[in-house]
Amino acid sequence: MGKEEISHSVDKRQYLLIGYVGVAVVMVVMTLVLAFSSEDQTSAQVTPTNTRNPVILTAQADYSTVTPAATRNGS
Amino acid sequence: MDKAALQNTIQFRRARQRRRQALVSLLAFLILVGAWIIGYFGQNTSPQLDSYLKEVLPDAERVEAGDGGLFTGFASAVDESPVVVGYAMVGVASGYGGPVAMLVGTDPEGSIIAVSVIQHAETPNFFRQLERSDYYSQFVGVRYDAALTLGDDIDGVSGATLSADAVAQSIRQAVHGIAERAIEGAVIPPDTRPIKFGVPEITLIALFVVSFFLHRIRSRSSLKKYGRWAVMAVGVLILGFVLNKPLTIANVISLLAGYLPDWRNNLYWFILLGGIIIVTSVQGKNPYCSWFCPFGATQEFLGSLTGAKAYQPRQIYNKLQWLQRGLSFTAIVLGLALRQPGAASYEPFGTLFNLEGSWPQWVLLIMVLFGSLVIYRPFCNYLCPLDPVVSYVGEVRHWVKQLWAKRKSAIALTNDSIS
Repeated sequence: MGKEEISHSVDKRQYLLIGYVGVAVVMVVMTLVLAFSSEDQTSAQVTPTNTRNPVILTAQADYSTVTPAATRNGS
Repeated sequence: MDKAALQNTIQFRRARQRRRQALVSLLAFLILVGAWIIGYFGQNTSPQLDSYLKEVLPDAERVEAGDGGLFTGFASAVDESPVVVGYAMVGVASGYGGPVAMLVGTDPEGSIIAVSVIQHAETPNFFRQLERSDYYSQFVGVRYDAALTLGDDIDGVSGATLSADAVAQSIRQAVHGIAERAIEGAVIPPDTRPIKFGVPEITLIALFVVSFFLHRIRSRSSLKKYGRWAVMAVGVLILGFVLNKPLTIANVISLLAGYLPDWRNNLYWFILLGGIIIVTSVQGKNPYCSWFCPFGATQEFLGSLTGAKAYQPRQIYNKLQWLQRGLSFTAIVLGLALRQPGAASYEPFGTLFNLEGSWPQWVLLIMVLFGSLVIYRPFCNYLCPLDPVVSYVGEVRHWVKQLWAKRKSAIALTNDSIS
């Protein structure tokens, strides 16, 4: 195999690697886009009975003040 | 060019490179701090609870918010006689990617009517498993004095254990809160959950210990070679296919965001992260990535079938490594800024070991598995977000060691000059 042929084959392998990594990066970006735009971050609900009437709220909860249950007796 | 001029040029270039690296490090650090601040202050916006309250207290016509986050549901309008139909409260517990907040509705006696997820930061594909496996319906009808513990009166969900446990914990927190505040004479059972230490934790510690000692054996010994293959096989089988608990970038982001799970239930998490940081800092060798990372080992096993070799062309390898660092950094910044560590985890680990993933993760997995037959560990070398993170721990160790050596030589010089 001549010098030129070896160099050509090296270039081809590099281009293949760049293409491979490029497509993989696109898949990574798509994964991130789909995960962050996912609408089911707050979705699951269990409703065993029918909702009857609209609820009239007299105040809003500030549940952000509730701290995670991290301790053994903290629940 | 004479020798002195050449040396000057080399020194000048090195100094310029160091300055650039310092600048990039500083910029990266500032961006991370900025992302953390954005995430921290942005998360304090509570979602509106109206629609969730309708779901968990379906018989209530009016709901009043009381002290300590307790909601009371009434059967009639304000001016009529107040008949209580139930209570509701929010409970929060740390899951795989961060806090999981549940709104729980109970009847006046403290039996659960309905539960609703109001916020979570788990990996979407895994969290969906809870809904698909009808996990939440187990809680309906359960009284406040039940154990509400995974493996006891609640069945877990394979592949989403941490999320399932966080849901159970937050529901327990909420019903106990309701009982404490609203149910007269309620006796809240003490939390008697045992510390979770079993096969997963023992396997992980054994893998760390074995790989630590094998690292110390000289390179060409057959004990090291076969020992490493054994460690990799255990990694693939136990950490991968049986437990589906590999290290992911979500674990790192959770740590940075300060979302530490309950250590009694999640010792595995602490052993995994702590073990990697400690062993890399002490030994200077990454004990996880090239040894018992189940995804890395899978690639290596596949590559061994065809004799795949590492391909790192000098002209482009450096640039590709920067691309890998960029991907890792982007995932960390997004995870911190949006406070969703689970969503930032783009690795197709769960896609392989639990057959769960979005379509790009499936494409990525197929590309990596086929690529492994040609190139040695393509995901580890070009795409894995954890490789730059673990390398960074090694860099910090190197930097501290250099500082220590400088300090020691400075002390020796001072002592010499005094004597």
